[in-house]
Amino acid sequence: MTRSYFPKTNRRTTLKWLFASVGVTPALAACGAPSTLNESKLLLGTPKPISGTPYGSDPDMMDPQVTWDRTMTPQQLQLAAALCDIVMPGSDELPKASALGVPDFVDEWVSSPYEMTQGSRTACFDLFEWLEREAREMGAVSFAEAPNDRQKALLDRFAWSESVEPGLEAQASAFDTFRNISVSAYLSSAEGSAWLGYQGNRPAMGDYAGPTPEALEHLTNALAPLSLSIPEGL
Amino acid sequence: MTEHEHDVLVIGSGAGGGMAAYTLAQAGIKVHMLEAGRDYDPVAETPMFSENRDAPLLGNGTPDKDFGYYNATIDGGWDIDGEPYSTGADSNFMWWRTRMLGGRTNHWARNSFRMGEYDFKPKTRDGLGYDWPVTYDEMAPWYDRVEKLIGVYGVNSGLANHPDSAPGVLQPPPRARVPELFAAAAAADIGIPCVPARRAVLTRNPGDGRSACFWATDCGRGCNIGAAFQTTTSLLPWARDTGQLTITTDAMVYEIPTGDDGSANGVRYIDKSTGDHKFIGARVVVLAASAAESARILLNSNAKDSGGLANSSGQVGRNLMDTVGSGITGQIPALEDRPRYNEDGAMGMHVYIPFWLYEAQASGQLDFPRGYHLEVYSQFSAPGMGSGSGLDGYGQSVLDSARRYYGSFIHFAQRGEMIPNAHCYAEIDENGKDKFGIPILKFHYKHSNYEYDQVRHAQQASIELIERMGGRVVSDVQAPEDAIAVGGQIIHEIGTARMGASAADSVTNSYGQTWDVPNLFILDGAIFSSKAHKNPTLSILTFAMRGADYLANEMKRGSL
Repeated sequence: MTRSYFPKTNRRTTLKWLFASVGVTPALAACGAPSTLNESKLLLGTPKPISGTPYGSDPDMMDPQVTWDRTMTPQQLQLAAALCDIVMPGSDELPKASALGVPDFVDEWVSSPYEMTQGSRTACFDLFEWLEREAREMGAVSFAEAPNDRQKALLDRFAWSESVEPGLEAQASAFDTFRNISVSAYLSSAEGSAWLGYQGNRPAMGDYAGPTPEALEHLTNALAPLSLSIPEGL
Repeated sequence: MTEHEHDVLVIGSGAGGGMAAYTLAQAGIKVHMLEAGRDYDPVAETPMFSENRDAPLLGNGTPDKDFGYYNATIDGGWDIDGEPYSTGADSNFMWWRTRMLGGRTNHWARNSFRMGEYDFKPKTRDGLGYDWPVTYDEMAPWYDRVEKLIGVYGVNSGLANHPDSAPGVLQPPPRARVPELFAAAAAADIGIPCVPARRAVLTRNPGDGRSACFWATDCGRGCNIGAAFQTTTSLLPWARDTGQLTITTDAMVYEIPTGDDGSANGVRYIDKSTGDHKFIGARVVVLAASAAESARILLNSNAKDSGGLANSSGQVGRNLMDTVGSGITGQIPALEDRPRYNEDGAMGMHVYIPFWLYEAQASGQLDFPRGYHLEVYSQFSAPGMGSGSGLDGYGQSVLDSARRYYGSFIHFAQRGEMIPNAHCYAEIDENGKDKFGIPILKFHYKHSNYEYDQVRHAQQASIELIERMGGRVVSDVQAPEDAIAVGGQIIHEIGTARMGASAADSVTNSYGQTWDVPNLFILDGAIFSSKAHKNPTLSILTFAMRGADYLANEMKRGSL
């Protein structure tokens, strides 16, 4: 395996609690949809079991910490990185997803000890295995190392909602889940948020400034075809 | 008379308990407060400006923190470890609790709408439910005092049953944002009012140590500058400053024992730090533990031989109601790719749609009683989990679509009045105890066609608004029976110890004083006689101030 993606570290990097090594938290023992895959034949290796603990009902809000380990195998992480970069390949003004650590967040999400994320874990891991198997059957060493056009050819079978190949509905649904997780992480990053245009979370003294003249002009023009106008007094 | 260490014990530190303690302390009465949760310091613990990306799972809600990592709910939520509740057959009810000093006031939406003249006499108007033992005119000056004290932004709209405040009471509202102006334009065109919202957020410096809003950070996290009202930055420190208020946290109250004369002589509680059972005495007890918890304490007191304390009417636990809730989301093409600016504003609503159909209702044109309002939500919000939903394909078009649609969705949330019915109540579950050994509550809950018909109307109104904006509805428009929020889900549960004009069918008089036990007052949402569509916290504060003022006067007169 050629390893092209290396996990990033940041403030949210797992702090291994002393008691985290006990393994699966009781609350999680029976949760999550069962995978349809045979564990002994996993092409991407066997992910680590969920470990760590939920952060609890009174975490330190001033110093947030992830209280569980990431569990994806190195092969899964490479595939996730390749998939992230197909979804968000970057441009002249934007870095690609892997450059922002998006694969690490996917790992954080699917590794979390909450039942609510375990459906995503099963769906994503099944999708990863399917992509890996199809890529190898096409002659590639792995999906992560397959030529970009071959990777896209596989995704084209289910990635677009109006042209999902019959029988690949599960892959389409799983890809939608993966895309939501990874794009959410991307847009939440400092770079993604700025590109999106979020300008809040900045204090300002005095009255709230409200819409800019440019925003109001846009609104006026948007209302005109509907025979509406900006109301007074608001 | 027995000598007590404290004049008054107040159980609970949220809206009702906080206001009661403040009012009593200001009157020179010694108050001791018992709070089931831990101490909480909003100055040191509020994650102002913290980014979603710095929290686990982008700050998304989890079973540990339902409203997100940074939400100012500590040791609370729909489910609390070791503190279960049960539901009756065919019932579904969600009981929100917050175990921290200040309770839910640390994270509430701050929406603050007065009840009006119709709301206080609902049965007189339409024959349903139960009248309050007061009129709006009696309550108006108390609303003025509370709004002035806590700080509420808004305007006097002059609309029926949406009372004006006295001159100089309200603070100026923030300017409406683009989607709100768009919604207001559409609403005006189809004859629906859309006016500045009223929220307990300061827009002017009050000169009492709190600061005006600086237009950033989610109010649900709490507000360490005190702009968004919560008792932990206002009523509680102010009351402590008088030297009259002391507070014990981690005190789980479970019983109000009575003396031979039937009067309350204090409370029994469990010290959660040690597990010890303790008693503390006082001349007067004020119960403000939240509607259901207060009913639970009453039902667990003297339960063996009397069906609960202060319950000769049999109304304790009955008349449980919550706000009727549903919502419709639309996407507005004309709002796509609109110019960016800072839309955080006061974080919550700047405008809303008050109920506008009282005349039509009176003339029989509607198929449901009472009213609802529509809360309007749309803005360039902070990216987080879900920012990547609803997209298609892969490649740069994915991010381009996310940017195009950003800020183009609008949500109309219905908040309506529920009619009390005999199927909605809380009782002691004989088969269950919590980790402290305290008998738990069993909830019974059932909506009626009154609520379903109202939901259907709100859905149609919301769809009409979205379509007038040139938009398309993107949420699943479910049948009202499926669309309606589960009981308790709106977190406005009230009514479990209603006030009334007669001891025969109510638990307290109009001051929250229980008919059966004169030195026991209830000053939280339990005493509501009806559930107007107006969010209840402002009225809880107002009845608590009025009741505590009455109590203080009675104590000074020596009658209590």
